[in-house]
Amino acid sequence: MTEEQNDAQSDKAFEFHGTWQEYAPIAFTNLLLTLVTLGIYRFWATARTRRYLWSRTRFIDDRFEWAGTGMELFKGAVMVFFVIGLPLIAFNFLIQRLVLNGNAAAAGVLGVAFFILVYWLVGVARFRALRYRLARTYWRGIRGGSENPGMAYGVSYMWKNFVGTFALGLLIPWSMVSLWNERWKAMSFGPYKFDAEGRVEGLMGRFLLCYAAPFLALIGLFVVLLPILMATNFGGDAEEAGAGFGLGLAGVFLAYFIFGLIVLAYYAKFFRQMVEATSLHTLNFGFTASTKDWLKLFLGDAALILFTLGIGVIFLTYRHWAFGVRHLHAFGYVEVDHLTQSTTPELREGEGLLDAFDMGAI
Amino acid sequence: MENCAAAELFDGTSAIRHPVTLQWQDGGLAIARAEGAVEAIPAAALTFNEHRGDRLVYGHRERAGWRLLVPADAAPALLARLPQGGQYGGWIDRFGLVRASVVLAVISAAAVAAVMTAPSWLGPRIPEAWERQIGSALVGDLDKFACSTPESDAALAALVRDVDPGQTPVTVQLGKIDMVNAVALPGGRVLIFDKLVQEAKSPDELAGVLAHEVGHVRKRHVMQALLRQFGLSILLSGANSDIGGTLGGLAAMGYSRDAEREADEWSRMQLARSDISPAATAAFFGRLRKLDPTAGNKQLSYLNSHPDSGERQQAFAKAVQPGKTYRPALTAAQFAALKQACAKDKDAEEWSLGWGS
Repeated sequence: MTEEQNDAQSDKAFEFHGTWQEYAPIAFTNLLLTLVTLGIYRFWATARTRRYLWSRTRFIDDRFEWAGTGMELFKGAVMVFFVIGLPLIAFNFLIQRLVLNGNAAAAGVLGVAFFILVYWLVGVARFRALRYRLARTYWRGIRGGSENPGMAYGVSYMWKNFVGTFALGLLIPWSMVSLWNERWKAMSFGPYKFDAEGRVEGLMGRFLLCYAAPFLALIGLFVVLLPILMATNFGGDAEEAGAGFGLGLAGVFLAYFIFGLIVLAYYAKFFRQMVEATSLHTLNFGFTASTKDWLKLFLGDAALILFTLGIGVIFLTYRHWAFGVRHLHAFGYVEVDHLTQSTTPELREGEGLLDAFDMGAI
Repeated sequence: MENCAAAELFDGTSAIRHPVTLQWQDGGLAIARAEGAVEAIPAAALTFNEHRGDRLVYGHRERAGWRLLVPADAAPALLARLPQGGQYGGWIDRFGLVRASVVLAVISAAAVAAVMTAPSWLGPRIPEAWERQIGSALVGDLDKFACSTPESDAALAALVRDVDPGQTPVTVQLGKIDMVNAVALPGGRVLIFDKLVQEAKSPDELAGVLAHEVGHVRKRHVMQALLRQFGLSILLSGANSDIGGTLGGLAAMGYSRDAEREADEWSRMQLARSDISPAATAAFFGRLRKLDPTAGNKQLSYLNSHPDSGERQQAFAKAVQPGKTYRPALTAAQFAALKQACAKDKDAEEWSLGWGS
């Protein structure tokens, strides 16, 4: 019946209509209520923020809707406390008791088992968070989701990240690409499954640069600071020591900055490449943020926090969402009469797991 | 016409947009599609979902994905009849933001006060029998590390009598452990490590250290520490449910500095009551200070480091009353029996972390 064409040239498929002035009352009341409830309101705060951001994001000709509620996020967190938190605390006491009774070997084995369990849970949590967010996102009355509960993804997450550390971490890009593909292939929107065919090709160059960062920093240090060193060499002993200290500090700072920049360059490329490799039926996606864009985003974040004495933190989610939508593109078309309701389970449990491991930020 | 409006409907089965006309009629909303079909939705089935700026979005309680988009400038008479939206969440909307914030802040402050003070008022009220049960669950069986000979047991009992006037018994054991330390464990148990006995220059300093640990037991510091950590982790789980952090907090459980000072005061009081000189204990802290102050076993929560040894040395030295006649805490024979206990008791196992041999 209706076939809505998306003309990528003239009109961007995704557009963000929010303004920070409109979001500010939400952000400030969220902050107030989160403070006076010792943090318990944060579940409702998250839901309000998402409802605003989703409702101000247009895709083709209609806005998204976030249907998740604070209560379901809260219930998810409570459930995780009882099902995972309390047993983990008991487990910790057991390990202490074993050490106290001279069974460090048994405690060590249990500790390793504990670590593996938590690692697996982190993988499951990442999967389930994406699944939950898709299941609670509506567009034209249709939602996404996944049939897969993510237990197997947890296992993949464990062994792929483990293999990633082989050969001095050279396989990390492979594990990241592989996990992205696995995660997205399990997701769907309406009747259609996402497809993700990301590849490692094209990522290794930037990744290998990370290894060169310390050397680049050293060279940078030489070029920039050698003249300063020579100039201060004529001063007294105390001055010399001070200059040496300053130099060391600048070197460490430079090394961190260069390393961070290279990691950012890698991540920017990774993200572009992965989004481009992800598709949904007749839709292909694109992401255009360059390393410079990401750098500007993070420097902007830092400046915002600095100049507002920390209060600006409440606008970070907004900024990151706007950034994501601004750089996200879609190409192709949607056949709205074929886009029928998702048959995946309706989720009402929230992101308890992800929240439990303190990685709830988008 | 004030009850009518043009709107858009997504029925939740497909993404097709249906232009519809709305009309309010006795307790429900009549939705007429362009092709002519009319459906009545009872008012109770409608939910307010969100205000999208130019449109109001309504949902249906039983139909997932059913969305009715009504222009924000539709007839006010119709909009007034549709469900109204909350802003902050049920309770807060009912009370109003300001009133709810004040009430919540008061409740939160009370909760913080309760949790922060609970250890000191609730701790001593928890029956000692419960603490013993919690203690044996948390600590397990340490008997196999205890050195015991008839003579050493008698010497230890004499020492305990001097420093503990309490009714219920405190279990004091000599542990075959190669560290200069002593600990008070949950459940009224005190463990003196053999290395401490071996390094002791006089029985008086053993009395001082033992009295300190008994002080922890009698002042219910063990229960208080458990409660403090538990309460804090509950409180923090509101602000941050990072399980890793909570576990870290529990693992780092130890006595507060105040508790340490209180136990020291208890120790000096007991020494004075039993006419044992605190000078040897002061000297012990002096020796301890010369060792690496961070030495000690940090991996075990119950063996946490103590306040500054120098400060403690001074406090014990000042407690020496000039002119008072003190007696030794143990006879030379009793002291020797303690020193030989672990060598003589062949059944006692040497405590170690258990790695390898």
